[in-house]
Amino acid sequence: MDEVDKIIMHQLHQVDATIEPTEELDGFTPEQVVRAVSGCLAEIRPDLQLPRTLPGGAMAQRFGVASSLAQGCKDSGYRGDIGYQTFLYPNAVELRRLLMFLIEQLPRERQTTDDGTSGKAQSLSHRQLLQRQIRKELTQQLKTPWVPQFARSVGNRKSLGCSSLGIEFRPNINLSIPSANPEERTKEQQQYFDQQAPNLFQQTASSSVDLIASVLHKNELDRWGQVLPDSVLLFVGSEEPEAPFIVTSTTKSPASAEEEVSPLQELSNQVQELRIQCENLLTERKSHAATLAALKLRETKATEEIGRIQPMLKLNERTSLVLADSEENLTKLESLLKTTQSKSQTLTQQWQDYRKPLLETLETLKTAKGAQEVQGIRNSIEELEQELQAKTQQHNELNATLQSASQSLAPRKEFTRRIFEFIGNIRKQRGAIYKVLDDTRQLQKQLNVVGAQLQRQFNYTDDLLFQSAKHDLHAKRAYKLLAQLHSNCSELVECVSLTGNVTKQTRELEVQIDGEKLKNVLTNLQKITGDIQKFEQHIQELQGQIRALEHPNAGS
Amino acid sequence: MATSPGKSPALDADPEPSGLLSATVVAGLRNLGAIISPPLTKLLIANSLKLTLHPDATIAPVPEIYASNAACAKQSEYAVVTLYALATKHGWDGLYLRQQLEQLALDTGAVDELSRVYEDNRKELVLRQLQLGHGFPHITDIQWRIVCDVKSSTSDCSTGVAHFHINLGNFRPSSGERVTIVEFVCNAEELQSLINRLKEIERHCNQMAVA
Repeated sequence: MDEVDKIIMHQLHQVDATIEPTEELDGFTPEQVVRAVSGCLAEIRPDLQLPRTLPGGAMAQRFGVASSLAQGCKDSGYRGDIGYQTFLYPNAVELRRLLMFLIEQLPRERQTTDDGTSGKAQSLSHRQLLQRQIRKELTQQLKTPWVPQFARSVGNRKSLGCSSLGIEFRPNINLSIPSANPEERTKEQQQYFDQQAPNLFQQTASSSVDLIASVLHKNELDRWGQVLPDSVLLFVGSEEPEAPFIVTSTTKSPASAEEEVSPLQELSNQVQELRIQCENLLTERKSHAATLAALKLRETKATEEIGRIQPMLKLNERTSLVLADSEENLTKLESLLKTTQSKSQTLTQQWQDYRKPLLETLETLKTAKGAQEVQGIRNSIEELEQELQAKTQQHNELNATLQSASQSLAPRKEFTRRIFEFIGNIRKQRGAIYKVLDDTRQLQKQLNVVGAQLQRQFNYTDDLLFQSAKHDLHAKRAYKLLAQLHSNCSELVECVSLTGNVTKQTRELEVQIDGEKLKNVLTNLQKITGDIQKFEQHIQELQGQIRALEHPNAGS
Repeated sequence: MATSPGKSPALDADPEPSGLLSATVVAGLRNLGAIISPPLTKLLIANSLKLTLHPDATIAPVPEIYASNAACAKQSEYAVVTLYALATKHGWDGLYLRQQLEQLALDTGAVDELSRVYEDNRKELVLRQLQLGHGFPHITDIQWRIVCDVKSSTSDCSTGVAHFHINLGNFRPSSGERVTIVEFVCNAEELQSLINRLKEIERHCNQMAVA
């Protein structure tokens, strides 16, 4: 706790130098507590108006001070238990808590400066102090409620001395007040002051002048009026019709004044003289300056005139020179004219000479260019025509193909229809063929079944008869007959199958015959025979020729 | 001590504050308690103070002040008002004022009364005098209207552009009449810009106060 107490005491000492850092919190009297807390609160919230000390006498006042401080602490955000008793009957623990809170709440800036300079607050620069003051003032102004202008002198009086109610410093410069020495006054003046003269307040009752400004002005005027020249005193500014005014000779007794004032008078006389001289000189200077300006103006005019006249003069001189020896000059000029004419002629000739070929080339080039362009255009036209022809041809061809395509369209339909018919027929035929095939298979099956039955029956009967034949003669004979029957039957079957094969072959042959018939064999045969005959004739002819050739050779 | 009229006060290097009072003032003060009776003196001082603090107030006339020796009374009124004005101007406290008055060898009753009244009303006097002086006018009132020209010397028809006609001013504290300080015309954009500037000032002030 000692350390904490030390820190608290140090801080308190910085806040309020009257609190000795050696004292201990346990030994704090109510007065010291109030000093410490109000000092801290004043630092934290400078706008708060708080009592700084605990009054000694009446209990009610002490109570009031303590409770206002407690309220201040609560307003600053202290959460602990606090009331008048904290201040009037201090308790070390509560007090320590309260002071620690307040010290934490102290403005940082102050702490740092205090720590750095250890209590040399006055060493802050003026600038910083001013800034701090401005800040304080601004926060205060920002917190004040708005007050209408007319109420400002009352409303802001507590916190702000000055308001926007400015009164212009406008004195009544002709205040009429009885002067200091009543002996100086004439009887009439005395009477006037006693009876008619308005008093001070009546003289300054007008809204355009202010009482205090007027009296201050009058006082200064009385004190300094004698030493100032009259001209300085006469400043205009009064908007008022002047109050009835009686010139009161200023307070000086001429007898005593003369001796003291005479050197002053002399000096002022000298000043006056010098001033007059100065004025004279100034007026002289002014007149001189005016004449100087006029002269300068004249000079500029003259130079302008000269500038205008000089070229004319030159011209005149030359003409006069020419006119002095007129005939000779005339001949000279004529000759000059002639030479220049001839020169100009030659020059034009030369110019024409140069110009002609160039113009011609220009012309030819122009025409060539034109012709080239025309040729180019023609070529392009021809090309385009050819292209057009090719296109039209193509068009015709395509038209023709289109027509033919549209013509061949109908038979195609027919063909497809026929093809469909054929397909249908073929399907029918196929169906029929399958039926026939089925029939034949069925038949073959039956045949096989019957054949197998027959074979089994035969075998059985054969066995039966063969066994019985060993014992019975009839049976032997029956067996022989059976064997005969069997062989005959098999012959018969063979015959049937042979006839079937033959009929099949015949059918095939018939089909072949039909096919041959379809091939126009006869006509072909006739043609072939005709050809053969022709070849034979040819061969005969050739043989005849060969013979004829051989014969003459043989004959020769 | 009265300044002798022949002596030039400018040469008076002595910063004696009573030198601030002119001879007329000193004479007027000397009348108090002497030519003017003590009760009248009290009355005169109270009356002067009231009229100083509240120039517009209507205070019942006190004819007995001027009943006898009106010139002296008028002089004394002037002296009292001047004394208080100067004391306030130079920040004298009650004790200092008393010292100065005692140097002038006035009537003791008058000195007591003068210093007592001064001490009692010092704050009011200070406030009264703080208002006085030349300064930039405060603006406490704004009047505005929207205007549009109908016809001008160069054009027969209206431009159709509306402007804000703004009049900034305040009220004269003594008479309550309105005084125009600035009057100008602006369009909406310019007005906006002005308002923004003013807001900037406010922000700056807030920042200054918070930092």
